[in-house]
Amino acid sequence: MANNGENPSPDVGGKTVKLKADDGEIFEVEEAVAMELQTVKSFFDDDGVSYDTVVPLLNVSSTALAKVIQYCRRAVELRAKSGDDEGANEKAREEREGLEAELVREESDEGIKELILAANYLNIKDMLSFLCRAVGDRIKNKSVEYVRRFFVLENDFSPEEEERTRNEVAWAFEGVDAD
Amino acid sequence: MDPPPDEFRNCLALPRDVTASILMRLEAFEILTSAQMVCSPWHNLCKDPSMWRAVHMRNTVAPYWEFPYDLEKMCRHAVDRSCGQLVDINVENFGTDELLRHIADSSSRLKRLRLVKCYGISDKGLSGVAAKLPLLEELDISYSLLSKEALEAVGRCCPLLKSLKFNKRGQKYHGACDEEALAIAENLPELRRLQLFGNKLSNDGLQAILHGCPHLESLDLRQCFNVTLAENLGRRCAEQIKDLRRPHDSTDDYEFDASYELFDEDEDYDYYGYNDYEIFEAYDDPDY
Repeated sequence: MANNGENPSPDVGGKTVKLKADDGEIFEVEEAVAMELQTVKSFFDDDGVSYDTVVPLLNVSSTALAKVIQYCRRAVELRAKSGDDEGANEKAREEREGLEAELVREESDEGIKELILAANYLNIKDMLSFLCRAVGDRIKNKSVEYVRRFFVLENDFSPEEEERTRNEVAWAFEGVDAD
Repeated sequence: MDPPPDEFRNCLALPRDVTASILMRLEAFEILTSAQMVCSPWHNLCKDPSMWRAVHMRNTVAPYWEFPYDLEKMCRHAVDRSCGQLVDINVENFGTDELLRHIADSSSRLKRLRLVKCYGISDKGLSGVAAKLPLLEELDISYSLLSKEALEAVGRCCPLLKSLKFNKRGQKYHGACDEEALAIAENLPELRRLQLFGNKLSNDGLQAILHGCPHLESLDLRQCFNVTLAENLGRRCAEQIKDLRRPHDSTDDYEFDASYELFDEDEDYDYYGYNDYEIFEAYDDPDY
């Protein structure tokens, strides 16, 4: 059973891959897990790149990379558990959803944005998908100002533009006529 | 979707396509009244037709006449923004034949159509537009006034239909009626998934469905109180259907209200509210 440490020894005696975060920290990861990161997969798909080469991930912090690896490791394990059996599939799906919920629940707004950028850069489709869903949930039903603060965005509309934008959907605020 | 060169560099770090992924999780209402007001790059993004391939407008908050926004207009606007790229639309608790016509007129590529609690949509309305939706694969017309007529029209015009949800309020001790089951059996041969919660079909209707929909993998018959899955029929179901929900199975994971009615009275049904006679809030108690 793989541990959740950052530098585990491979438990199946298979190949490992070394990933380097932006601060130089090296993570040694089982090949199956590393290939979840499509960016890493592409790196090795190129001809002549040996599996001993350290993959430089310049845009990913070590904190984010550690979490990504942890998630991908669990995802690979869960995928191995499911198969043709409906029951096992269902259970694996529930566990994966639990894993995603847990990852997201503990993250600050800054943290979750950092993870999204990492998942995007590393091209991990499933992870990016649930992270986007989680952020969507966080900004649901929130004011425009809140959303600006969340994403650190400036209101770059001129007053006239702002007025025009508001008027674009003014009709949406009309009351509904009684039948 | 080529990003304009400088716009997104100003928005802290999030690339345009990631922002799009996030915003696409929001309901149409939120995109139109909130997200597109945040800054001009977001405003432009929210005008991109690719952002409007899936439109979700679920009024689950209030009765539609209490909602302070004109949902119908908002929905039409969202559909217009898709510029014909609409693939998936989810309308809940509002909607008329006119809106449906607008959707169908502009969205020939529509694959998923969910019209739940849309009491303003009639058989005539849906039948009239079915021919404009030849790529339809999934249809949910639960809790509506629609009948076998709509099912027949969809069957005739939508050969790719694989998933149908036609759920109603369960009715115990009401007489059986196989109209809808037969319409499905005779017109929707490609179905893989069928949800008929609360339907009045009998064993005959079920057999017709099993015969007429040979590719069926998933079948939800909860609260279909006129079906008895004993012996042969039960066995046939279990063999043919991978994911089967029986009439008295748990309704814990059902997304709508699972309370059902007892006894057929002579009064007319009021589809907008509750009936005049008693409604028992009886959940799945097979001994009731």
